[in-house]
Amino acid sequence: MADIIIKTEGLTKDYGQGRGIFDIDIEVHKGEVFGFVGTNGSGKTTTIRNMMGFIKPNRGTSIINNLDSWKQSADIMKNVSYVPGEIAFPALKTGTEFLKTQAGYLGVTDFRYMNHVIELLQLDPTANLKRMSKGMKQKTAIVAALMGEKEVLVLDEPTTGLDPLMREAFLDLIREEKQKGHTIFMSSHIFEEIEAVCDRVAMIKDGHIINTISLHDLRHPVIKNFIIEFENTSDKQHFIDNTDFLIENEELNHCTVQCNIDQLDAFFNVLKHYKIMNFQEIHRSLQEQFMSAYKEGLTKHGTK
Amino acid sequence: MEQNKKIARFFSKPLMRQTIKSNWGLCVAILLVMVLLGNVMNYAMSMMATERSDIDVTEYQESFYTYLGALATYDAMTQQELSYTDFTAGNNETAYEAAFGMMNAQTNMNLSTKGFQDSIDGLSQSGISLDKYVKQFEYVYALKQSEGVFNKEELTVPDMLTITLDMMGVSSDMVEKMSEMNPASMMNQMYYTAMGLLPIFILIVILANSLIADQVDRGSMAYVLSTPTKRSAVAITQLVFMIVVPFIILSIVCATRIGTSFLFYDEVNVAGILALFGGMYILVEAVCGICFMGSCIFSQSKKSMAFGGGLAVWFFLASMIGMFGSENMVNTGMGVSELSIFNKLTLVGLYDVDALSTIGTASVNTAFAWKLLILVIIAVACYAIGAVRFSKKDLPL
Repeated sequence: MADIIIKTEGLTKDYGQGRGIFDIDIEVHKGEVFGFVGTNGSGKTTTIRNMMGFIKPNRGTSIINNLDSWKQSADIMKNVSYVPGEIAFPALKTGTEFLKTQAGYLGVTDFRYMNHVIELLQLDPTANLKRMSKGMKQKTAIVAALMGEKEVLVLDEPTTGLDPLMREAFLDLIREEKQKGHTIFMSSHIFEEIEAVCDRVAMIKDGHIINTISLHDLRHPVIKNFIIEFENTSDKQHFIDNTDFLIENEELNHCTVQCNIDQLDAFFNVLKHYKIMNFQEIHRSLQEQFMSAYKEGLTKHGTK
Repeated sequence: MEQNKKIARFFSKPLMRQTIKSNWGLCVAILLVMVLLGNVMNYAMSMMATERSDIDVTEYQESFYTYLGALATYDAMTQQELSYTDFTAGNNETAYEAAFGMMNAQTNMNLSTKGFQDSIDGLSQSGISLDKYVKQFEYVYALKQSEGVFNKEELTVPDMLTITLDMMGVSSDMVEKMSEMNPASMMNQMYYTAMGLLPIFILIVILANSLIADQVDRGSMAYVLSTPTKRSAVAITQLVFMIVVPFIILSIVCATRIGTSFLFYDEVNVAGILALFGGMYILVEAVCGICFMGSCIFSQSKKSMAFGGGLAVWFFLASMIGMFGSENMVNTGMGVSELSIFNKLTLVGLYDVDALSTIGTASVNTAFAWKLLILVIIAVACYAIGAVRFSKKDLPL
């Protein structure tokens, strides 16, 4: 169990009227990049606030590094960095001043890594804190969190306001952290970036976890779907009549075939006998996965 | 990986630095306003004190009027025009010596030019122009030995004055009380319980809100609490700031006030001024505690501001209204004693300026002690409740 860094069990914070989070169970392993996706107001930030010990759960526990989030939050913070979802800086003049103060809290004396991050994100920290654009504020917040080089990173929608180039730079940073063996928990509603860096993803809707999937499975699915276009409709009909594979939405001269990866060889052997006009694998994106899970969740929790 | 693994449990130096950096401008501005206010007030009071002299001049006045009477009689008898103005011009002394000699011979008095001069010198100590005394003598002389046509009673100047005032609708009692009122005590009351408090009340209301509630509301507190800094350390650090800043400000104001007092007055009751400012500090801390508690309890800046600011404004206003019920104000005719009930509805009422200003004098009134003790208890209790509440509540960060 030493492997588990973040663990929540039955975590519940009820704000009434169906708002809040209910029975959240999450396990994040060491060295993992864990994504947390959900629509606006679904409970991502509430879950993170619970994990950081800012709010007290009604029920259940949240444990980071074997320490209780609510009771020992200051001890937890020795190894955890946090980027808040809402960026509001203290009333200090410049970004440099803010970063220096932050270094004071964290006890950081070696600024090499901080400067590296600043360079990577192309941040000009000497700017006036209040005049900063949303993107610049976000970058400053990321630098403030990363400079401690903590083993656990909790990021609440860290890429909001960043332009696509910076988002890429940020994802590189995340990969760098992962290389170091650091554990990262990030929430987002942008599927592409979650798909790009995360190992596992939990989906939350209306305060309930509706699905936890491994992106490894998503990238390397056990069951694949192919669209096959035959030369003519009779060929297709012949294929359908003589095969054990599951066929979906056949139309004109093409159809969709579901196939286990163990059977791929057999599948191609069958196809050899036909004249194929087009052959295409259907790649199921995280977004589609989310959408289908979301709809399932709608029927599951919608009746409550 | 080198990391400082220390946890800030009770005090956070970086937070203190951040708090000072964010707030010193406001503190300095308020300090300047308070120093200016305190010393201008002090100057005004010193001017007031020199305008009114406590020297008893009744004797000189009597003697002066005797001389003027003698001169008037002499003028009437001899058809001459000797007068006070003529005498002070000083180029006709022999005529006066002759006049006084003649009057002495007639009336068995002991008049001399030297005696006249002495009475003039003595009377001028009162600070009131001698011309006014001469003018008053004119009235006295004109009415002398006159009596009413109907009631045959003697007509005097003071009587005439009283009747005139009564007809103007001004109570003659009040005029009498007005001469008894103590302007120094009234100015003290005004400065220490109203004018001097306003700037520092504004400061502490803003500070208390910005130190906790505002940072929680805006979310910037997250950057402090996501570091190894306990909530108790945050509460205690900000609390220390709230205790130290008013102390520094009031110390500086007090020091400059004592300094300028030595410039304006011959005698300075240093212990009394120290006691007044000490009491003021305790009062300010009690209000500070209340504002701090509000800031810790409410997570929304506007609610905390409404609580702390509302109470501070109430304390200030009630103290202002209460002042119109004080004895001094009632004596000047600007107050009604019923309004003094407001002094019981404000914490400022527990700051007994009159009793505190007796410190350093012969008769010390210790009534201030238990009142200040109540203020201390309020301050300690509010600070404690605030700090505990902040450590236990949900923060929307």
